[in-house]
Amino acid sequence: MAALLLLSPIRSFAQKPAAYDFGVVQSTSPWLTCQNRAGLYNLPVLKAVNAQIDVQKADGGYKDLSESPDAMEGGVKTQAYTKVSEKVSFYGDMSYSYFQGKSMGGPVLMNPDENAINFYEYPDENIGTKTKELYTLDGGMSYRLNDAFSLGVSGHYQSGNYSKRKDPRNLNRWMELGLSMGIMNRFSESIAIGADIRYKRSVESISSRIYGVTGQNYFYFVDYGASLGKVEVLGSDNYFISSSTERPVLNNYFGGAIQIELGDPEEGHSFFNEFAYTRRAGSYGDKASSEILFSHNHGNEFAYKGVVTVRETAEHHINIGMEYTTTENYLNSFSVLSNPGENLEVEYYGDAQTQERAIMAGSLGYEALIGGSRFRPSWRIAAGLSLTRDDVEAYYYPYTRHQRADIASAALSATHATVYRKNIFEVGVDALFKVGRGDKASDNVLVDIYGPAPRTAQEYLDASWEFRTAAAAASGLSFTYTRTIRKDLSVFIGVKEKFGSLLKKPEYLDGRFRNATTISIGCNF
Amino acid sequence: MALTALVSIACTKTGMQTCELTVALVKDGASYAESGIEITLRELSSSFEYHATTDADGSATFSVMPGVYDATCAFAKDQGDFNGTISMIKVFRGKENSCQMNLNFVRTNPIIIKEIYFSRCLDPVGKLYSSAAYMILYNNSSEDFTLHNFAIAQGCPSKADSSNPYQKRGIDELGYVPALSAVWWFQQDVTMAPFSQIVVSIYTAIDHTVEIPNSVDLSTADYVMYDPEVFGNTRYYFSPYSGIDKSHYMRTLSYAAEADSWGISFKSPCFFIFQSENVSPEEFVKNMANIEDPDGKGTQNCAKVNIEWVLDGVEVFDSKDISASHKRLASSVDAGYIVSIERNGHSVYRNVDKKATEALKENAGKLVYNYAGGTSDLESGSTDPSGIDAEASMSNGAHIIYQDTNNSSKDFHLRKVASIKK
Repeated sequence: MAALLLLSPIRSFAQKPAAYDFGVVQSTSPWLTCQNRAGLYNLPVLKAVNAQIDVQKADGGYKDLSESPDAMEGGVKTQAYTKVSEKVSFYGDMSYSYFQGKSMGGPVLMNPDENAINFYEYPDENIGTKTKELYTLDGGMSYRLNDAFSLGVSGHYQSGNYSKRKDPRNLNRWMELGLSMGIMNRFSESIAIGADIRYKRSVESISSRIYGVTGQNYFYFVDYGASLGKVEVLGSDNYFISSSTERPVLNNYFGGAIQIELGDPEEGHSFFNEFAYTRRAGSYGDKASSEILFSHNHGNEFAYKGVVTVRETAEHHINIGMEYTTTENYLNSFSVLSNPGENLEVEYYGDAQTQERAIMAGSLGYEALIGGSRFRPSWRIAAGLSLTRDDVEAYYYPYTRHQRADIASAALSATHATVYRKNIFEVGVDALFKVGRGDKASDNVLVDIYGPAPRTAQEYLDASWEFRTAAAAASGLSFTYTRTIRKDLSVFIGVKEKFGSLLKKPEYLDGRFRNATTISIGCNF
Repeated sequence: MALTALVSIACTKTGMQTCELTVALVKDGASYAESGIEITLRELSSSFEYHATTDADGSATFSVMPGVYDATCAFAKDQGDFNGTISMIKVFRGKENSCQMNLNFVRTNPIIIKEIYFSRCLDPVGKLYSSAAYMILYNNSSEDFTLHNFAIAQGCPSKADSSNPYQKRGIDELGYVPALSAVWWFQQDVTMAPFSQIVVSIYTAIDHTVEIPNSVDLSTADYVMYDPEVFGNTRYYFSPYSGIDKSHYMRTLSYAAEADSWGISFKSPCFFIFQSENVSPEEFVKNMANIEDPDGKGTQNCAKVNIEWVLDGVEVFDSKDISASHKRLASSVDAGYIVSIERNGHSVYRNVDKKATEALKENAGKLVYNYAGGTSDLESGSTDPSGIDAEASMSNGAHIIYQDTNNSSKDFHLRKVASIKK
């Protein structure tokens, strides 16, 4: 029986037009984008491959601290799903991107929102050009043991660098590695259950160099949270940012998920659910013979994803997302006992909590694919709503600071594709509205204290808060031309224009507007 | 009569949970039960200060996080002033910690170090200029004082974050103050009038501002450390300005191997002044029994200056290397340190004792306030908390009494511009 299964021809897949929309193929089943690759075999076509080059130019002062008012980014990406046989399916993704942004300073780390402790140039007077390169490789495979059980495995690797071309010249080296293994069991036509375990490790090593005038001191603001922290000079090895030693920001994520799919996807009705839990543990520095462990953190993430799919004459998706993430960070108190030139000897006294953070996020989205063919609908209409509460308590004993941000956003989009012989003309519009409110910073002192108060990077606090919570709207226009070359190959060229604006004049941000133009050239086969 | 404070620290568990630190005063081995004595606890990494007063049992309690602290107290009794200081109190989370604080009967010395200038400045092409340095000695009293058997020395090592050969033994346990490589003395006794000062040029005593506008004019120095037969490095020891009498050249004797200059640190120096008893400084350092080679390498030879001879000291740490720096002066000489920012031509200047200065009747209407010469606007900078502009007040005819608590952390600030730079 197994041999027959192995030798039987692949059958019963939907006819894929040459000029299919890769994103639509991906959205046909939540298993295709799930970390549990055991469900890859749900791919409705034999093969779907996309390769494209994107170039984006973004300008405008309405930006986050880690963005640039004058940025250019280019990248090459290829993604592919393929079924080798009834039993074996693959997914692969390779990409390279290069980013260059002018007039950048501020945060040192690549993804400040992801980290429990952050560093900012202080004051932000040495802005310069930053560049970032990322190389990404993703792959997954599913293997069907029989009609019911399948196994899946996936790997993820990303490396890159992020550097600044003006003193202080921060240099970050990035590496991220992920693995997951899963299993799926289709008990019947109307219920399938999967489970996977997943592990991810990221390391961002940072250092800073001075090449110009050496008569100047450079400083960094160490942000414990909500811009409460301390200022340190760039210098010797015993400070947070060193001019001679690379220090790692390390994060380990270990977790798993359970997937439950109700309904019959082949009949066009399904309700996909994924319940995921991830435990995070990280540190800055390293408790090694020649290193100092500056801080450590841990956290939890609970996530739920639900996708309702109804496919009749049109295809409808309802997407539900919920996340609850907590993080705590602790700073080590230590002294260096050894003298310069000797083996490093560090005495640790204990730790003190510097941050407690909780993020709750929920989203609800609806998408309809109407008319046309299954993988190239005439209309794609989408609407979505998201709510986020970000609650941060920062501590620098005996000082504390509380910040709470509640952010709501709503989005609408519509895309229409017109097919004329071998040509497809696609026009899209979208609109986004965002508003936020909350408590920017409430300070407290737990006991009577004398001497200097802790530092607060007020300029960063104000700019970041305004970016996140000020009412804003954005609209976009896109145009894509696709040409079918032959039965299994199409090429496309597209341009997207996105314009965003604060609804009133900014108080702290450098500008009110943001414009991004993206040109994409690629092919599907 | 020795007073001893017993410090005990009990640590409890974690998160934002604090550790309890109890300081108890002890006199002659017995509990000194007196309420209302304020004890100051300062965390070294943040400079946050906690104050607590003793209860009827003579104990004060603090709630703090793990780390390293200094504790000080100072109070006056009928028999005189007492102070206590203890450095490097290590508070461990999850452990029972205890340590003792030795209190000292405060000896006030009228001669103090008022200012030191050492930190280099930028020349017109942006390079660092290091050939100008000076120290100002000041008579902090209303009576004449004669500098007899007087000498100026520097602590060991010259840089606070360098390898310290005394670190393992403990600088408070030595019973003497190590003076690195050489000491300098006057050719004859010098009598200082009340509230007067003398400027001692450490290196070449010329007008450096002619070529280096950011530097200082030391052609007007009162005395100069110039002894070319001992230190002949012409980078630092040009012939002094002709207007400085040769009798005002200070003398020295080097006990360091192959040194051609009295090298001081541009980042974190340590100076002290002493008055030897029953022997001149020259005779003292000529006696090899008073010289030691603490690390056995011959590179950091020191004279063992009796701690009772020391009149004053100042300890400087570089803002970039505080956590790697180690004290070079015993706590009874200087319990703290002042933070310096290198390369900007700043000087370390003593704070005014506001209460004592305002109490002088002759100062009525002469004191100038709103002092703006500090560096508190700079990272790691500081200013004079008294708010009195000492130089402007002295120009107005006031008599300044400077603060002298034997603690550089409290007694000094980083001044933006050297006081002799007009």
